[in-house]
Amino acid sequence: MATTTPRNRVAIENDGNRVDARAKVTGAAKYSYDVNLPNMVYGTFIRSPFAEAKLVSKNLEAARGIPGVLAVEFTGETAEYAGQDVGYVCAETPQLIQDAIAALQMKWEHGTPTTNFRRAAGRLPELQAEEQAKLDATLAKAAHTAEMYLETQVQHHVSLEVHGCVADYKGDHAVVYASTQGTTSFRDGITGDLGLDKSAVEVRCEFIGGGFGSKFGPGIEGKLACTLSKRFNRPCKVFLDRKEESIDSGMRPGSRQYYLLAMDEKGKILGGRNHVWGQVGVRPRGGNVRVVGYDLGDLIRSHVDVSTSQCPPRPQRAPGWPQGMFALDSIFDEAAKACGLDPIQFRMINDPNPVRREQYELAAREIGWDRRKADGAETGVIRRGLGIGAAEWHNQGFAPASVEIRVYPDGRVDVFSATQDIGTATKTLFVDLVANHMKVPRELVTAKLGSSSYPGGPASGGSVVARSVAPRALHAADLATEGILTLVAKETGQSAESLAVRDGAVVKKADGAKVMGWAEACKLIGSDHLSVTGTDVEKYRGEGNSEGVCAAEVEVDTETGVVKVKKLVVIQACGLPVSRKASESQIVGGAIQGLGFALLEEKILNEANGASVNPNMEWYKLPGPADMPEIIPILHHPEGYTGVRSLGEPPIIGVPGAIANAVANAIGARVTSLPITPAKVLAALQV
Amino acid sequence: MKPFQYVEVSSVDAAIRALPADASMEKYRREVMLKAGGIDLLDQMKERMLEPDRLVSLRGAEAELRGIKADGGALRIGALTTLAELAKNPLVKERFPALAEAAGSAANPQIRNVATVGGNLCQRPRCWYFRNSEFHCLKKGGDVCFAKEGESQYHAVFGAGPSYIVHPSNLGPAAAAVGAEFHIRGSKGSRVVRGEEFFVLPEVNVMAENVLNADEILTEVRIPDGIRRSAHYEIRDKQVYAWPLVAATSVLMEDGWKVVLGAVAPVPWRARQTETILGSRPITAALAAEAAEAAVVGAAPLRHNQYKLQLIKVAVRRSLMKAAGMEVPA
Repeated sequence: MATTTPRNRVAIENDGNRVDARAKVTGAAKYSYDVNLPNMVYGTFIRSPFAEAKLVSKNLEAARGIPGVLAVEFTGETAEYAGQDVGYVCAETPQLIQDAIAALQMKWEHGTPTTNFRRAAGRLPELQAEEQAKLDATLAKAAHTAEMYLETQVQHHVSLEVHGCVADYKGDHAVVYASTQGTTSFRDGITGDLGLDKSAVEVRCEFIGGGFGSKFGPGIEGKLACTLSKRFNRPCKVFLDRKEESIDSGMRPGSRQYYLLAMDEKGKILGGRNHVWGQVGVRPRGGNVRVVGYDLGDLIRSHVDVSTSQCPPRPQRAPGWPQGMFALDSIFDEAAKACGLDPIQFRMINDPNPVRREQYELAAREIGWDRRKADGAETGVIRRGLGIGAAEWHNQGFAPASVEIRVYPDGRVDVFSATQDIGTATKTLFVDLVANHMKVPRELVTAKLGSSSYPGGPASGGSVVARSVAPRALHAADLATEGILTLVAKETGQSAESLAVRDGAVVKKADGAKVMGWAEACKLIGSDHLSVTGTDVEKYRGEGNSEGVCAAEVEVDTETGVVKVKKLVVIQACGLPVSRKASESQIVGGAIQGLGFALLEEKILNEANGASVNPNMEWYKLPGPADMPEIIPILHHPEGYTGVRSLGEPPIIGVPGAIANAVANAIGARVTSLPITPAKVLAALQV
Repeated sequence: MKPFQYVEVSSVDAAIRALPADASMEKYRREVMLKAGGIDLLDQMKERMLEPDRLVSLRGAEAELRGIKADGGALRIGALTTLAELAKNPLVKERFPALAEAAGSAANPQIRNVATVGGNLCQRPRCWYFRNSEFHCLKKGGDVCFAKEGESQYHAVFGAGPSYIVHPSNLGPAAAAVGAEFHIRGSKGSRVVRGEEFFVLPEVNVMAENVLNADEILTEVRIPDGIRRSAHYEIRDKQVYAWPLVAATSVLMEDGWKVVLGAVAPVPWRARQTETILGSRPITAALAAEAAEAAVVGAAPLRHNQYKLQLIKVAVRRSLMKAAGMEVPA
């Protein structure tokens, strides 16, 4: 699938599978949802069906009177959004908790929720006099302008494994099997509910079926499981069902974005105005967007969050970025057209990033940009179009982490970190990094992740894991190698500095002569194991960044408005790329999620009562196998990128803008809001 | 899901005996229901829309109910035949390609391997108000159809009121187009209902979508002889595991063209004005376009489904051209 280019190199030339591929495809991998303990009880939430709702009546006695129902408690009687919790139930079986909720025979009344975001957002606010003067001055210098409103929808995470955990409180300590992207952040959120010190709480998550930013803390479900486990002194399982997952586990906020860009006669952006309305939940926060470092001149930016009657947003893969770049890359193509420039030419003028400038050219070659016609120049029923979009990631800083390596007398190497593999192949990254660095066979190395009792590691958020753990793992690998070489040196009467490990054997540095095999050397450890811990050492960090460019080719049926994406070229830098297959898989995943955001996904609320009409995977439309284009992931490794950098989130960022631009190129009219549905395409075409 | 009793029977007669005689549909749905593939049933039971005390599985009666047989020029399709079997059957593909195409594009391969012909024709609406417990709609005994004033992008533009559902059957348009015989058995004997007459508009009975009584079983669908040409055409925003936005089946029978629309009305919807224009004439691009324009006469779109009118015209035109062997966009 990958296209090899001179720069498409990984640090470690291997085509190794994900280390847990077999376990995952055979079902041997046990997810937290799969955990069932003896004597376990079940908990769930009582939820409001409507927004702006008030509970009018309930039959608490009937619910509590069902044999096997252990607790029915209300914590409130009003709800701001549909699906908000107002209480909980605990029972011996999942069936009984459903029976208890049915027995409550709740009656609800509801007011008028805020579901019409555009109406709630209102008109573009006027600028302060000073800013207006600045904008006027920019416009006075302009040879060309482009102006547009763009909108993105509320997107849902749709984690295949729903939110929840099994809490096992044992008096003086507790083990919690959680579906989480942060074993330590989850742990820190439940110590109060368990009444235990964090040293007495272990949170485990060996495998997770998706989180995408929605599973950092314990959530109300994790806290409930812990509270009930402690109260009944029994293990307690609380997992959401698919519907709860859809209505109350966070979302990517929607947006409305105004752009006015002013350019000089050569197409250089002078400035303009950008205002963003974030479509958030019941609290006015979390709705701003992010954009790449294009040179936008004197752009006056402003942002306001608009509350709507739904659950609050949570981070979702590259929070703020896909929506920000859909809008900016859309207005960029309109601006290019106003200037009479090709979209890539326009970016070459206004994008100062040297890596991305290289990537535009690579993308153009891979997608066949020279075939691109002017917007709307295609004729016929089915029209093809090409589009481009940009991505980047902030790689500032390294999260606290330490990595332990244990070497056993039989030659095996275990690598320990509390961080978890959210699905990005973190375990594979550890194995490839350590095996390569220690020069031992990959089969000998195992990554042990996903327990808060292991050496501290970051939550899987902000794409910090790889770049934070890699330097520590390399440091630990060097310490482990030194430890073994010291033993060999002592045994053979040579200096440790004169020895090295190569191809699974200890050799003399000077002439490469074999001193002893790896397994033989490890026997010198004795009966226990050798343990070392890698910490933050400057020299292992390296340099690098995570720029990206996406090029899309689409086919639009101008009679039906149906858009089919034919090809996506997704070029992504990630500092020093490590595991080729897993990294390309990460890029492909981003491309698919970007495609879903561009064409299909949308959380839809019923206007009158605020209940979601599509809290399921039937009507919340995710792309399926038959919707897949040809996807070409390209790992771009620029000169001087020597350190491992972020790859998890950025590949989604450029995709929606590239697809939207390709559609506009095909049909000569722009769909200004996502998802790009047949109805919107037909409206843009005025059919 | 409420606990229920699971009963296996080995014959259609035994299944009928297990059903409540002279009962209302409401009683049937509360007490005992038939299970074929179980796809639709399971969805409804999980949402607690249906809480029958007992399920009667028809699997043991497969010898009577499953399979496709030629009967002279006609085809007899057992109600337990799966969509996958229908889609790949050589006789069906040869004699009634539209039906094979409709079956083959439904849902996804996993569902097609389990879902049955009877289940597909008799399934309840996929309307997102009907399917969510938050909305006590007309079809659940409530007094309002939420789609009328609400989120109506996938709802009816024809034949609606008081309910605005669209009939969900992938096979319904093809079956209606050829006047298929629906063979029904019940405690009072057997009957045969032909084509469109199997399906019921909400103005006739808002609580059901077909004529079946509580003690009756759809056993077989008989496709008549005399299909000269046929094609099914769907317009989809999502190509798998989704319902078509609009579908059209066009069939040339001895007495002329039949054109039936899917996903636009509470029943498979005959485009009668289109049929009148077409008569038995050979299809040209111009004739197909003229006839397609007539397919939307009388449509009454809601707030969010105006776009369906354009899709109807395209689906009708392309299904006619496809039936005539002309090239159309996939």
